[in-house]
Amino acid sequence: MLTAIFDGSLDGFLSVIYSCYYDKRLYDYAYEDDVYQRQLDSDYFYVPADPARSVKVMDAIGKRVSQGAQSNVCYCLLAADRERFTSMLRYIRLGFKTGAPVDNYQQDPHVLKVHKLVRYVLHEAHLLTGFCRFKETKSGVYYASVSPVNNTLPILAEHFRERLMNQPWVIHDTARGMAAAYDGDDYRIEPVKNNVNAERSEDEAFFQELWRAFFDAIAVKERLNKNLQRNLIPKRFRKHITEFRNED
Amino acid sequence: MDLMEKLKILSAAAKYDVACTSSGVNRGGARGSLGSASACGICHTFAADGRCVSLLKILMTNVCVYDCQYCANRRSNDLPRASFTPREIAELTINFYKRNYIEGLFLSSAVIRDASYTMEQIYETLKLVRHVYRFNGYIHIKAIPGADECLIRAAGLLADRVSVNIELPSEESLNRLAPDKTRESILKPMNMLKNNIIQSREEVMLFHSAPRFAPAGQSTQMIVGATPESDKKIITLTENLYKRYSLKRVFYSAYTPVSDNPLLPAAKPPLLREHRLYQADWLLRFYGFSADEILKNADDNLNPNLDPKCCWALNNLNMFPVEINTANKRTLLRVPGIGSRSADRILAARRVGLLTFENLKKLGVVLKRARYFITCRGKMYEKISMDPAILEMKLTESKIREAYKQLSLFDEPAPLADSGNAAAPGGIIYAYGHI
Ligand code: SF4
Repeated sequence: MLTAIFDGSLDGFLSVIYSCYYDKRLYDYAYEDDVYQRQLDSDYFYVPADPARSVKVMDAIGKRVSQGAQSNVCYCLLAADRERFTSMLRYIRLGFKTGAPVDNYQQDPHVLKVHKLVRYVLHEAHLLTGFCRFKETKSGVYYASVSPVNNTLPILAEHFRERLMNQPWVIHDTARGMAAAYDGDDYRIEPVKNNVNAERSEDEAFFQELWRAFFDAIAVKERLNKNLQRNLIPKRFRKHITEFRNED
Repeated sequence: MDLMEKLKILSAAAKYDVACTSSGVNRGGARGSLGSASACGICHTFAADGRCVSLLKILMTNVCVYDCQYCANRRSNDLPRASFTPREIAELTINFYKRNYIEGLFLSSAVIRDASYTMEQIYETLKLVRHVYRFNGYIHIKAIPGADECLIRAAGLLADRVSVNIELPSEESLNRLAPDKTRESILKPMNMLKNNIIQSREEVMLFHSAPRFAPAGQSTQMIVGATPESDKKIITLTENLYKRYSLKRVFYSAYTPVSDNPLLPAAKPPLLREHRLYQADWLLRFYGFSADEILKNADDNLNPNLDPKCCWALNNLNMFPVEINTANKRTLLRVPGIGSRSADRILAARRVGLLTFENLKKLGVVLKRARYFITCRGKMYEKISMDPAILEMKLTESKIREAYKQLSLFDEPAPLADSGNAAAPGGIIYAYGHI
């Protein structure tokens, strides 16, 4: 049993793949070094992240497997599952054998797992493109907080860069202490402290009130269905959502 | 009247309009503008009735010169009236959008003064929102039947989707309940929209920069349960609308009766029936079924205990069981419990190996209903006779409980009127929202 330990980044992961073929070490498992607990029955190597190797491997995945496999790797990386790197590793190793049809091998547990995690990440990100709520602050920057299970911040940032193109905004992942900050031109993702100062603008309370009024008025009382509502907008999102809070 | 008051009245008045989807058009952001559109549609929240909210759904005004019996806004009803100015609508849309409350605007209206005047108000609002406020997000508007076609066309060039409501499933019912409307007056703008949409699509293919007319197409909605038409009549009408007017969607709205008007029924809203109609609609749009396959005779209704695909399968047992490893996509899609996602997964997975029931489960194919209708490598899931009566019982048991749960049919009876309509005791609160 051969285990690769690396820094958990995309570059790091692709460097592990590189090492499989160039150091002839066909790893069975891959873990981020924070979570790896040494096991006696397994040999492990630490693989440093190397951007130059990473580019080569990404290229090779695109050419010899598929572009779909490239994006699967990128999205799967964001999943909150410590076993994800092992499944990604086996998925790519299989991909280099089969080429593009690797995604048909759904009987393979690792392929299945990669697909499942990708779906989960994309699904959560999709929900948040709707559930994310911005508040106008005194400085004119629009601020939103989220605390997703998966690391969906990079996907959200891409989405809102298109959508809120002419206004500066910050999306703060309070679960990870990271934020994406957009200045009207481009965004950066950086670590932030959790007590950010986001004082509301003067109009903010008024528009929140209007929104809550709309939200109440739009429900058809003859068809109340709180169960359905609960399933569709799970509790864990609600603490960030204006209409489910009394004040912000 | 202040903005808050207006918003309460004019959103409550619009709530029965069921179309709240923002799907059908992909548009990236543009420098200096606010907004983009996403073809898959994004729900921003879910109201207490469990319906997705993605658009700021409001009426321009609820002051109406018409007198449709099923609608709270009808001239003869006594209830608070309000009208937005175009600027108020623009401010609300932009400020809600910036906070990511909404995906865009759904603007409808009662008929104030006359159809053309109303349409002009809608057009003025769109001009302001698009050109002055530079809003690039999703907009759905209602075309007011009887309005000047130039106005409808001009508004359609600024909107993503335009719809005209067919209102009721037959001409006779329309004459009886909506004396100011005729079948003609509704179908005419539908036809005009269809032609404009097709023409614009062709132009865009030739010149990329040609103006886009309602790129997300047109939709319509009708009230079910207010009038005596059978489900067969309704899905046949639906099929025709898809075919003849190339509609993107037909929406159904279960009539919510609170009226002592003898022309209208007094039962609770037929939610389960509405649900079954949507399932049948789905079969028409995505699964290659025809209305005649779903229901045979003119006065047939959908079975409340079973979904329409199960019913069809029970009536056509000679076509089952289907072998998972060889059936084509069309056939797979006709198996109860197999949707298009499952079908695609099966097709992909079987390219690299024969599938067993175990494999199907791993792929996430739900076997609850499908197992009675398929074989894997020639084997059935369990021994069961292909007797329609036995199968029907098996399918009903699980299914009906599920439907009840989903629709909360047995919840406490809901209070009759909401705040916006409380002033009209005994009146019909079916606010249908625009024409
Ligand atoms: S359905 Fe439309 S036209 Fe008829 S009364 Fe209601 S608002 Fe007026």
